[in-house]
Amino acid sequence: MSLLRGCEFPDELLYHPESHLWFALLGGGRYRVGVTRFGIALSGEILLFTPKPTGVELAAGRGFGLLEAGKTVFPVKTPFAARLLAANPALDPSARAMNRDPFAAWLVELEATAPVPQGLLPGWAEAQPQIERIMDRYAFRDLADFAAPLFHEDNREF
Amino acid sequence: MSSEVYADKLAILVWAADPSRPELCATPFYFAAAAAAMDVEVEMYFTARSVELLRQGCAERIEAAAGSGKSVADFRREALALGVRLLACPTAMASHGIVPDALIPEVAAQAGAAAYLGRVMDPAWRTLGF
Repeated sequence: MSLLRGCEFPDELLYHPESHLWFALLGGGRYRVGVTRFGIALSGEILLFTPKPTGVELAAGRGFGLLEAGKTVFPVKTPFAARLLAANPALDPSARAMNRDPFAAWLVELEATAPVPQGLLPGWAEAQPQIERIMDRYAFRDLADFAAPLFHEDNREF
Repeated sequence: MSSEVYADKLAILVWAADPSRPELCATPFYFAAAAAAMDVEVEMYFTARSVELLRQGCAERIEAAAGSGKSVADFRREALALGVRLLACPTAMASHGIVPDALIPEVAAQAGAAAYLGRVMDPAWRTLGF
């Protein structure tokens, strides 16, 4: 487990820094997906997660669900073409578990419907500098003293 | 279940949420943003006094919830960032003395009752009213 500015990042996971998502490869092109601790810090307390219907096919960049964080909403999008296999039943009806343990409270399982582009989901070592640049953009110095922005006009990707 | 089963267009009529009921005004934008975040094409039709929410300087002064620090304009901005289109009823504008130049520049167009009713009658669209 690595720690960056107060946020834990499991070493064995893959990451999509721009959308604050983590990916666990399950095998056979299947991935379990969730939001990083840093992503939760940016959103503010997560209240609800509403997935799209199981079985839906999504082009890269299309949303697989919606997060509601009290004062705002965030689409969560797959970075690769995928089929939505399952949503985490533990997040129904409340997704508050994500705030306590974002790496246990996964959102969905996706199955890639086309080869995932090389380099799209870097491991932690490669992802760390990218995530740090994003943290700098938000003036995120440490989890302990960061307050979620009141609104997210310019960064709707989640 | 395939994505073709679900509609992907939503027209929202904003009619009762106006500056006289500030506590109602953020909700239409929140719902619009939520739908847009789910890849729905969203249009918001503002009529009656709700058209005031598209007047420059109005929504900026309405706090969404007491002590939240977030204005109705903030919710509107988030909806716009997700691609929601805002439409102002010209009849309502005339009734409330709002000239086109007084609207925020992000308003996509003027559209009245017939346009919204067209969405209501179009099977490709779902509708919602506030």
